[in-house]
Amino acid sequence: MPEAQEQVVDAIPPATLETGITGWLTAQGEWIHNAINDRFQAPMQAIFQPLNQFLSPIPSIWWSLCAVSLFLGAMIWVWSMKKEYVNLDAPSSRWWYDLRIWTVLSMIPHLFVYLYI
Amino acid sequence: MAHADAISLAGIDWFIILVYVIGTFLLGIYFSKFVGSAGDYFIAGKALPFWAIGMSVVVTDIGAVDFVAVAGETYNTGLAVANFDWIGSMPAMVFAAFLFIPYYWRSGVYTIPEFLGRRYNTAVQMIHAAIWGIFLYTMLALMLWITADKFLHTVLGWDEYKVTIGGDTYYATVWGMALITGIYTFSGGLTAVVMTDVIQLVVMFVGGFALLFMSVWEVGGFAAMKEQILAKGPEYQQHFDMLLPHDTPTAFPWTGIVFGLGLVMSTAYMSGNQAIVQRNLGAKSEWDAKGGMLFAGFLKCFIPLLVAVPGLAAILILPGLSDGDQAVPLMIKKLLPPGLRGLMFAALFAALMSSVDSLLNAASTIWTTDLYGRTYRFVKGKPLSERQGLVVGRSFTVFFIITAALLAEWIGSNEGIYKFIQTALSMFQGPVLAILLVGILWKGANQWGGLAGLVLGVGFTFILNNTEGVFPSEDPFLFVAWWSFVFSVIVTLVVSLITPADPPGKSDGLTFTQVLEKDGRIRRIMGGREV
Repeated sequence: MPEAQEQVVDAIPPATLETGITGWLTAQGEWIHNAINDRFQAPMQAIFQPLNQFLSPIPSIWWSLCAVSLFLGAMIWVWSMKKEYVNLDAPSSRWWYDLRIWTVLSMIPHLFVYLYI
Repeated sequence: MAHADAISLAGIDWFIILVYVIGTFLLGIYFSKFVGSAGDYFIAGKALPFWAIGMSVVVTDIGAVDFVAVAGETYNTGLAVANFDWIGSMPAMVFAAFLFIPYYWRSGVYTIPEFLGRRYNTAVQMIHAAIWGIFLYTMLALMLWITADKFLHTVLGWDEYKVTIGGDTYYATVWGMALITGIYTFSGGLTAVVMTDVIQLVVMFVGGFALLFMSVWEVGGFAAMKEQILAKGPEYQQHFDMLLPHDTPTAFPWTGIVFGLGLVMSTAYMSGNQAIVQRNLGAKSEWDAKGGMLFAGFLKCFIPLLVAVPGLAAILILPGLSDGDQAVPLMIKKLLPPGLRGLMFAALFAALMSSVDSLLNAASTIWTTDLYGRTYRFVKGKPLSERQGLVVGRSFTVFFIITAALLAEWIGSNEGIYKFIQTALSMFQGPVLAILLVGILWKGANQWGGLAGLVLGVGFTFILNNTEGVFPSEDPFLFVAWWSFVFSVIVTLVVSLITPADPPGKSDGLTFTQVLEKDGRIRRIMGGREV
C-alpha cells in the first residue's frame, strides 16, 4: 500500500472501516457519545462526585446491612399490609395459604447468603 | 467436523435427550385442545395455578446461557455475579407480587404496554410496546443462534448438520429448535409454554444438581473449596465477596447492587418484562398470581448454586482456562458419567427451549395486542375480536419463528446490533419502572406525567450512558438505572401536578389506593387499611 494511502486509512477511526449496519451504528454512536460527553461531563461530575466521595469510605459492615435491610424491609412491608389484601382469593384460610408466611420462607435462604457468606 | 473438546454422548445419553425432547413436544401439542380464543392463547384462559407460574417464571428467566456464562463469570471474577439471582430477584419478586401484579391481573390486560395504555395513554403504550416488541424478537433470533453456535456447535461439535443452498447456510440445529418450540407454541399458546416449562424446570434442576454435587464432591466440599481458592493468591481474595466497594472498577459495587439492581433493574425486570409477567396474567386467581411469583423467588435461591458454584469448583478442577465459558462444558466432560451427562444436556436443552418458547409467545402477544391490535382499532374503529386475536397471534408466531431462524446467524454474528438493542432496552428500564410505580401508587399521575416521565427519563439515561467519569465503575449500568429511575419519578410527579388531570374514573381499579372488586364495587385500600 502506498504511504499516502496508508496515512489516510490510519486517520479513519476503526469503526468507520467496518461495513454494513454494525459499522454505521458504531460510527454514529461514537459521534453522539463524544458530543454528549463534551457538553454534559462537567455538570454531571459536579453533581455526582461529592456523592461518590461520601459513599466510597463507608465501611463494609454497612454494605451487608443495606443489602439485608432490603430483604427485611420487603418482609415488613408485606406484614404491614392488610391480611385480606395479601391473601385475597386464597383457596383456604389455613395458615399455609398465607402469602405473608410464604414471603418470609422464600426470603430466608437469600438472607442467609448475605449474612453468612 | 467435530471440535477437539466436543463431548461424546453414549447411547443412554441420547435416549434421555430424545425422551425429553419428544415428551416435551407431545405435552405442548396436547394443550392445543384448550385453545379457542385469544384469551386462551395469550393468557391461558386465566387458568394457571401458582406452582406452574412459579416454575415457569424461573425457567423463563434462566437460559442455557446462564449455565455457561454465569459459571464462566464466577470462574473469572467470583460470586458477586450471583447477586443477580439473589438480591437481584427476591425483593423484586415481592414488590411485583403485591404492588404490580394484582393490578395487572385485575385489569384483565394481556400485556404490560396495554396496562400502561389504560393507565396513561396510547403514546406510552406504543413506545413501550415497540421497544419490547423489537427486543423480544431480536432475543428470539439470538437464542436460536446460541442453540447452534454456542451450544450444539461448541459443546457437541455438531458442525456437520448444516446445509448450504445457493450460498446461504442453513443450520439443522437452529431449524430443529425453531420447529419443535414453534409448533407447540403455535398450537398451545401460553398454556403449552408454561406446562412444558414445568417439565423443563424439573429436568434443569435434576441435571444442575447432578453437576453441582459432582463438582463440590470433587473438590472436597464447599468449605475446602473456599479455603483452597483463597489460598491460590491475591487475585482470588474477592472471589467469595458478595458485595464490593463503591469505588470498585468492576460493574458490581455494593451501592449499584443494592439500589440499581435490588430496587430498580430487578423490579423493572420482574414487573415490566412481558415474557415474565405474562404467566401471572394467566393466573386462575389473584392469589395464584401473587403466590406464583413468591414460589418463583423461593426456587430462584437455588439457581446460583446450580450456575455459579460449579464455576468456582472449576478454578480448582480446571485451573488456567483462558475462557471461563469453557468451564461448564469441560466439567460435564470430566465429571459426569454416561446417563448423568445426557441428563445435564437435557437440562441445557430445557433451559434453551424455555427461553425460545417464552420469547416467541411474548413477542407474538405484544405485536398482536399492542402494535397490530391498537393500529387495527385506530383504522377500523373497533377492537380485534377474540377469534381475530387468535388468528393474528398464531400468524405472528409462525412469522416470527421462521424469520428469526432465517436471521439467527446474521443477528447472532453482528454484535453491534445486539448491543444496540440491549442498550436501547436498558435505557427504558428505570423510566418504565418509575411511571409504573407512580401510576400504581398515586391516583394523581396523569397521561402527560407518564409520557414525560418515560420520554425525558430515557433522554436522561442516554446522557448518563454517554458521559464519562461520572461514576467510579467502568460499566456503571447499575448506577444509570437507579438515577434514571429517580429522575423519571420526579418528572412524572411534577408534570402530573402542572398539567390538567385525567378524566374522573380513568384510573379506577388501576391504582394501589383503589381496588376494583369483581362485582364492580370499588374497595379503597390505603396503607394496608380499607378506607
